[in-house]
Amino acid sequence: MTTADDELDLTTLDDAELYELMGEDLYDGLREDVIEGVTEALARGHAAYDVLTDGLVAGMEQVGIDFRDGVLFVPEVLLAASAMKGGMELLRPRLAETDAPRAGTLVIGTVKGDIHDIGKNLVGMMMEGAGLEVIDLGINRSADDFVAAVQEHRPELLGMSALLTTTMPYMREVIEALAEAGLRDDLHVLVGGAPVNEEFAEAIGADAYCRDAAVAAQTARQLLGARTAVPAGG
Amino acid sequence: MARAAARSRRRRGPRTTPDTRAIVAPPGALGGRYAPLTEGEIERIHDAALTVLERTGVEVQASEAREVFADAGAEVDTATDRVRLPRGLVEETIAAAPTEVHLAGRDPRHDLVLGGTRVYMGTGGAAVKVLDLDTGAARESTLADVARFGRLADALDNTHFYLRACVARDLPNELLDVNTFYASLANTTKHVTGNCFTVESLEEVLELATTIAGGEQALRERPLVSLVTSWTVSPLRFAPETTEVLTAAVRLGVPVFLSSAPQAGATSPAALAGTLVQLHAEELSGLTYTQLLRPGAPTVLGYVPSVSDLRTGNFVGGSPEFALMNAAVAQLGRRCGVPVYNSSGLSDAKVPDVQAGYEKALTGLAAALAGSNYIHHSVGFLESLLTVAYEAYVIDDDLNGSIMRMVRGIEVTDDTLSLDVIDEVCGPDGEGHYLGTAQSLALMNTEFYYPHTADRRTREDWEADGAPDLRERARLRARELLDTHRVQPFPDGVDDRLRDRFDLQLPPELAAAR
Ligand code: B12
Repeated sequence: MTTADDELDLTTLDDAELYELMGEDLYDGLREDVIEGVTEALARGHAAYDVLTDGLVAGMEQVGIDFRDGVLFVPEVLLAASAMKGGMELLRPRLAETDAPRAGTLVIGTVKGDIHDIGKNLVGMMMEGAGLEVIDLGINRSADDFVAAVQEHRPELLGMSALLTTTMPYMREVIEALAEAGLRDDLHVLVGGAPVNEEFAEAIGADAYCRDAAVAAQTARQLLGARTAVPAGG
Repeated sequence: MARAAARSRRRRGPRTTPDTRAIVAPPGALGGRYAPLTEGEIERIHDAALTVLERTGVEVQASEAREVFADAGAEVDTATDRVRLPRGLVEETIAAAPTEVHLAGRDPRHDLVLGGTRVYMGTGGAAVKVLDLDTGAARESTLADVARFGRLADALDNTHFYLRACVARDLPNELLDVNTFYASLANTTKHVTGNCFTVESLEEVLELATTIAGGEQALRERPLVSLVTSWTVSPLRFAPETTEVLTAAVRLGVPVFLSSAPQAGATSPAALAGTLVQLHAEELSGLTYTQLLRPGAPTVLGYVPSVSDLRTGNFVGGSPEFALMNAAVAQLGRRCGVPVYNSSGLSDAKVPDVQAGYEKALTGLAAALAGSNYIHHSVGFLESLLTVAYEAYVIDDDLNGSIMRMVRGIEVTDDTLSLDVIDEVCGPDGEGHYLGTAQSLALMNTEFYYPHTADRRTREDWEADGAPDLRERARLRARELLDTHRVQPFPDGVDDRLRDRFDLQLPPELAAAR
């Protein structure tokens, strides 16, 4: 228990102050405080979608900008992402009940033959920070694994990582397998990894190449915005 | 007397510089003078690593490897895939492991004896891009590059082994490993290290090496090739596929480097000591595995501690922390009496610039002075292991020559104390300077390292020459060496047999050793 002095009574704040605080708490990675803020906003009868856009997404936008500019470090961004996830856990079931646009799901994995996963993990965490639900398939994943996961989770986004020139070509096989299973058209495919580039992404029929995790989160929001009108912040 | 000397001098004909390079900066010079860790700290890290193996354990999925551990008395938790290694088992392994690993070049002058504090520096990695020698721009690496970098490594004095420089991106996967080893072996008589993606390709590479060595027995006695296996994925996980390749290599008697590359802050603790603890534990788990598989299997501890830039998550290879840790691991390996492989002399810079120079000098010097046995990545590497450059090969070879000169150190003997020379020069009949003394004449080629590319001329001379910068001068030298250096060929008939047996893609004119 904190003392009465620094224990802020959220009910005393007006809506604008509440959202401002939520954004700041998110920026500071205060998961519990973010959850309290979201709870209070919902208790006031605000729509889950509004809490998401006006509170969480707005806060994460600043995190993204400051990460890009070198103000925030990775551990701080991960804390913020974790706080975001905490808030999303409350919002997600409510979002699903309404016809509000989904926040989006990403299935991500490192392709077959490849065990590099640091970059993929960073991307996954940034995507969670952007409010997406992330299904991480891990490393060394076959086309069948990707297809099965897409069938099961019906994500809007699929991310593939490859750090080896020898495993990059496998991304094409995954995309072909998705097409064969009739799943390709419902998906945005993102690819990345040190040897991958724009040209290669285009050649294998991916939708986007992202050179780092910050760009990946930004791209995801743009792509989802284009399709589902999910908040296209950042 | 004077006349006789003059006559004999004349008889020698035009003066040629004697080949004293191996004296100035000798391969295998003894390091160990730089010690970032105290004896007490080494013990604490070693002990902590044993605790990690016993308490946390390593993740090994159901496999032959796990059975090997279980049979040796390790505790296997099948629910979590954790294998916990009793302290005693690890300590016994360390005590019985080979203290030296012998590696051979096609030319025995290039043989390496890894162990103790003997220091060797060489190339490394598998860059995916090359700075084109003509355009200077980055482009995808090819098989021809593997060959040409091999030839350059052969020509350079202070490059002691050739770990293939880059990936042949113009080849399909099935042809990659055997062609990479062929292109390397055909272009250098130095020891060749590489990696194999599958057990099948390992068998091919071994057949290739056996043919070149002249039989299985010959290859066993003089291992012309060795294998890097990244069998762990930090933290503390065995990777099933690479472990399979490692297992096969150990069974086949190929010397292996147990390469593990945790990044402080990302895949190992942000505290440098914690990274060393985890990495040491990973290495000891690998050593225990190879020794259980085949007691006495030639194994080199492959510590590659690196750093994650926590502002971005990027891999960092040129930082002071990298230098400290890569020196410290030489001490940890020595604590166990097992040879050490590590990574130093790489850079995060994109071109061979000042950043590249100082990063390479910092990390390369630290590891070499600490006495690491096999320092790879130390020639030509840029962009955090993604790019390699011909001119950087030439520059870094000079840097490594300077480093090896420092490893060699200062010989202090009755002679080198120079009392008589000092007294004579400063005496009543003395010249007042040392330029013409017999000692200067005797030592001018052995006491000093003369870089090929560093410019020590006057500004006037340099300007008269067009004021070339280091990169430009190095490019010239790289071109010249590539054009003129001849590599000792394979024994008669070997190349034809190899080309009959394997689908070798290297154009014959690039197989210098035909
Ligand atoms: C760390 C590392 C390892 C670690 C991996 C640990 C782990 N848990 O991931 C270990 C030691 C296990 C390892 C093993 C090997 N490695 Co390695 N490794 C590296 C290294 C040094 C850094 C990679 C890294 O983590 N970078 C940091 C992260 C944050 O960056 P990133 O991965 O690029 O990710 C960012 C972007 O690319 C992007 N991104 C990445 N994925 C995705 C996915 C999506 C969907 C999106 C949108 C974006 C995106 O966003 C990320 C975050 O900003 C690279 C060199 C390099 N500089 O890349 C070599 C490198 C990739 N490895 C290489 C090699 C050769 C190997 C081995 C074969 C070594 C061997 N001899 O056995 C084995 C491979 C085994 C296998 N089958 O996979 C070569 C590749 C050569 C090639 N053929 O392409 C490299 C280039 C080094 C070299 N020159 O030698 N390696």
